[in-house]
Amino acid sequence: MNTKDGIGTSLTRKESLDKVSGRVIYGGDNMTPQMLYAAQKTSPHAHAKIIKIDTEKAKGMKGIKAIFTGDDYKDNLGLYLCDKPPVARNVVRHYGEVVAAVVADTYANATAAADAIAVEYEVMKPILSPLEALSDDAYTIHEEMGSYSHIKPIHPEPGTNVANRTKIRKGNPTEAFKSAHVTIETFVEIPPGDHVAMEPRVAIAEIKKTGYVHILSSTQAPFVVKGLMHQFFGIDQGKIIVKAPLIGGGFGGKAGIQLEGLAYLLSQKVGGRPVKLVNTREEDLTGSPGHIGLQAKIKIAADAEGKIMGMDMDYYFNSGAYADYAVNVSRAAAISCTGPYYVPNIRCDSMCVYTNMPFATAYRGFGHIEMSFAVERAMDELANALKMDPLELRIKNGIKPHDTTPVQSVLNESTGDIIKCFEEVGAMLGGDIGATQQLENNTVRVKGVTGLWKAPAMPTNTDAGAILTFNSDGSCNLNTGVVEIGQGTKTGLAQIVSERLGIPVDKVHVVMEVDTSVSPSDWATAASRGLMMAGMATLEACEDAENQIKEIASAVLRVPKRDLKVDGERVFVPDEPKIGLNLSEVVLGYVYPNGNAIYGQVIGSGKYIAKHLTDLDPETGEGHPDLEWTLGAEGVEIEVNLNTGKYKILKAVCCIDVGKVISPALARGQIVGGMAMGMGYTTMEGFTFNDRGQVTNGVLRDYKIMRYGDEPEYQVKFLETPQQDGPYGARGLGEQSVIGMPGAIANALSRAVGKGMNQIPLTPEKVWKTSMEVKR
Amino acid sequence: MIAYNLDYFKPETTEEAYECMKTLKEDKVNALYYSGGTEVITNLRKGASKADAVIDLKGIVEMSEILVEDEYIVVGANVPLNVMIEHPELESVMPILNKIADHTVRNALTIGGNICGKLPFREAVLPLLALNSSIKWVDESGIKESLLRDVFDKRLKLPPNAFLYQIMIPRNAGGQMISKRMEAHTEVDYPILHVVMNISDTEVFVGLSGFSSFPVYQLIPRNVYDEWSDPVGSIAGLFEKDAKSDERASKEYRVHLLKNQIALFTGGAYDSL
Amino acid sequence: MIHYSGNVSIQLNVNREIHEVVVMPQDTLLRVMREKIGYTGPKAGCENGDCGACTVLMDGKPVKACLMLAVEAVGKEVLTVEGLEDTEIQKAFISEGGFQCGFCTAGFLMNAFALLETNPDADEAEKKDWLSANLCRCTGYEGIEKALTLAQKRIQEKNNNKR
Repeated sequence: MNTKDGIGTSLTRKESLDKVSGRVIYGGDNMTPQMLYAAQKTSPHAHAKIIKIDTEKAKGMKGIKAIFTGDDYKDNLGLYLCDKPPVARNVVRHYGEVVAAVVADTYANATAAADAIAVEYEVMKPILSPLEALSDDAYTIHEEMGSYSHIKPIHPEPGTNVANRTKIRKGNPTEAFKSAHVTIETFVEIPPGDHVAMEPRVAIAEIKKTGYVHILSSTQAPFVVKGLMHQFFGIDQGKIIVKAPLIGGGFGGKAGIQLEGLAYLLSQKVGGRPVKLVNTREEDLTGSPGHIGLQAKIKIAADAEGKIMGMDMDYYFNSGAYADYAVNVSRAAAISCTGPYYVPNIRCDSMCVYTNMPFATAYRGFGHIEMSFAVERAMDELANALKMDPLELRIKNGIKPHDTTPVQSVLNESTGDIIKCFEEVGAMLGGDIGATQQLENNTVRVKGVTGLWKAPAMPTNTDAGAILTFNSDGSCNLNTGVVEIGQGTKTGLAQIVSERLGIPVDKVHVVMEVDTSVSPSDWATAASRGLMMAGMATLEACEDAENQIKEIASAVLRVPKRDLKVDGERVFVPDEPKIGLNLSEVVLGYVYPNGNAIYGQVIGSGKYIAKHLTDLDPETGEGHPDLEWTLGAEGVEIEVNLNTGKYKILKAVCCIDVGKVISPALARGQIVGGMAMGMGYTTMEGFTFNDRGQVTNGVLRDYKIMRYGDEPEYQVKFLETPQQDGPYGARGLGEQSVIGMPGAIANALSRAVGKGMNQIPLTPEKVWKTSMEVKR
Repeated sequence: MIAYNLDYFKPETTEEAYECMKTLKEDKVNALYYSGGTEVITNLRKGASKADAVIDLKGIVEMSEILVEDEYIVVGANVPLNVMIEHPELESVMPILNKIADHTVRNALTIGGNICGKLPFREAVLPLLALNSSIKWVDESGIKESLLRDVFDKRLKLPPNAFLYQIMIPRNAGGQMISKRMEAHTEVDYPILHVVMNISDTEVFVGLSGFSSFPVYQLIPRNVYDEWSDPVGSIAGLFEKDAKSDERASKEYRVHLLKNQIALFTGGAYDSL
Repeated sequence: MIHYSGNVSIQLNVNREIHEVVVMPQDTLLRVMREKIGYTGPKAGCENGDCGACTVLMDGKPVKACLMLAVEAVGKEVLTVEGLEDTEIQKAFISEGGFQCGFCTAGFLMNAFALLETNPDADEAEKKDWLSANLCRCTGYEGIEKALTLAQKRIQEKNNNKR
């Protein structure tokens, strides 16, 4: 066991020095002489017919190599539901939709030409909310839905604006509501918004004469891109090489397929020359997808003691103009629809609804942050109705091992201790969660808490792999398909190797970039399972390598394999350590003094595939899609000036059961980062629209995210109830801390003003307005 | 990144600058004066402004200087806001200038740019109006001078092709200057209300930026102000009809914040219900 | 009077070296540094002056290179993250978790470096004033704050020892 820098120690990241020296080459930093540059033209309208695209002037401008419009590609692309042309064809369905692309010798020339393209639109009325899209007289945004191909677990409803519906039916909710002591009903709303990763998306595509397609992209899912490029364009899988360098933040927005398809089509138009397609910030915000919106109606029924008897819920997710990942987001939210509470009777319909708004892809929390806002607001309303402390209500109903989830899977012992999480959060906030502390100048101090949970919503065959090779000095190289998006998984995996094989972590060299032609397959760097799944694969690769090392040493030392140990960069007999070899002597084969060489190089390989996952029953939602559950609780303390509505989040706390903390500093970084993102999401983000559906805050000047100085005091506590099938007991933690923030903040603010605040973002003006409503 | 060709001129004297602009305009070349450049570049990139040429005034050395004279602090129009903020004689305006844009941008953003730019906030103009500053500008006949109050109405009204040269801020202007800036949420943002009050022996200045579509101000004789039994209502009444609604704030909220702030400044009563 | 039109050859002093480059007047300093000189440390996060990822130092002051024309930098000393060597702030960013994805890091480092050079005794308000010019989406700013505090402490100690 290498305890010096193995698991549980906080190491600096492997790529640290390059990151602080400007030496990391992100996707957009690649510039080669043969490269051509693409610029996009986007729609200023939320819903319009394209009458004519006039490219005459643009074609004749300096340096123009090709112009691409909707007519250049007759099919649709799509992750689960093929509903989206690479650029708009005949109709634009959201503000910011790409209507044309230009390839030129310089980006400036491409941009000038894109500006010179004249598009004639017939503007039509847009649909600007899910409920509007579901109303009887709403027009159908995707008239050809019936002809779209889609994967089996998705159930689109042609003739309507429902791209997917997931039903959860558990127990007998009607009866539960009839016999309840108290029932409450809440309605919440969240607008669509954006990831705002600091790096705008980029894709560089090149098609060689041999037919090999090279894609370099800021992608979290290089293997998904590879698979979809094959599916859409018929390219042999072996001839698609996708490379993912270090990424400047993903947060789910760079999973799936982003700019790669269009970049490929553009390269095709210029004879396969490398074409670099980079989003401007404006295009990244509204052209490429953001996060899903929601309108939701939640009803909870409880007995006199506050035990929840049933939940009745309608989630109307706002997918925007295209389905992308959103159809799975709405499904994932359904799987977790109750929040981390045991609910025996459930009726839930989770719908993914089209609107004429910027469309949604995966986002940190994957539907859980939206679902959690709805449920946690309802929980506080229930606490109010019962005159019960909000923390006590949650503790009373927290889900435990052997309880069933909404999909009727059974939580096993490998599940976090949410009751303890609630208790810790209560302690970190100093208790008395339901109290309002009056200060002078009409200012109050309030607290709010939420429970959170998440299971990754992945394909049932989600997988990871790891390959370990060695250098002549006994150091090793770890190759996995996990992308480094800032979460530090590469360093965490190195720690796992270090722990398992006893090699110092600075001698575990991690391949930073992912190259689908040489990295083992990996479903995607998403769903907070990189460390868990790649970690398990890595452990298997370590075991495999260790076995081979022992094999060689056994022959040379004439000792049975079972009597050997690998540690401290040696392989040796534990009770007679002098009998041993340095790893450097065996890892590339052993050479006897007389020159004979045996065995050859050690190559360790490992893999992981999720076990026993099933899809959901289309009528009841019953199934086992949930690989593992991470549970936790969060809370905030806020000071609110009721005169102005301005408030300051003083403290943000999180207790999360992660199974095992592989690297304390990296883990804390993820949790704190997630809390900050959740705070921005709740208090100041979200797209704003005019009544024509145009986004009015489509630049960072207007779309505000948290800044230095906005942050509260963060307190984080980890619990370690082991995940039995995770590496060293670890389970996922990358996303979870974003999930509980909207509910916690809204619960605190609702308490401050004395009325439910259920509409995100919770701006100071809304706080003031609501507080005025209460006073009147 | 600007996708169009620009010609760049950097004159060394005011005459050269004016002549350059005049000649370009006569040749139908669309030219813009350029100082800090932060707003010009942003607008040219997005197409909110169009230009074939920029005339960089930073070559006119005295426009980047601050001179302390007997009666005035003379601030060249090209002085970046951070330089103004740090000047010991300009402490009273510091709290107002210190909130504009962000610290890094203020190393480039100039006082002239803030006043003459397209953005409708022009927050720096409020303390200058409050102190009854004068300005000098360059036009056909050379350097002209005027009270700022006489040439500022929503924006600085100068003859065609003229440019702002210097600002003269009276020393010992007297009066107590107080200000408060409020944003929709986070502080690095345009204001939804920036109120500057200057109470001197003779007059009370109240100026607002971010409240209407342009800066607005009122001068109230001191004796009138002292007589008001309801300063909050009286002052708000002067501005209320100009309040705007936009995606940062509704006009009701702006008016409420104004009243709330005036109440805090004056000690007057304000019942928000 | 200087008049630049079309392609013009200028000299830019970047990271203590004179670079001879051919630029057009409308080229921003950010694009020229990245595309013509090869310093890709400063990033194009928004090209609108909002995110600060393009921050470099010009004569010791932080500026947003996306809002500056390259020709304006003639005669000035420009410093990018590639020009920082083994500084306290870089070391502190590493040890205190001042970055995760690293995309905003170059901008933050230049700004923080300049702050500590200009005023090593900066208080919390001044630190907030300077650093609120840069956006970070990964860290929640806790690691950046800790790094700044640590670097400041070390620099103050060094200054004290010098006396």
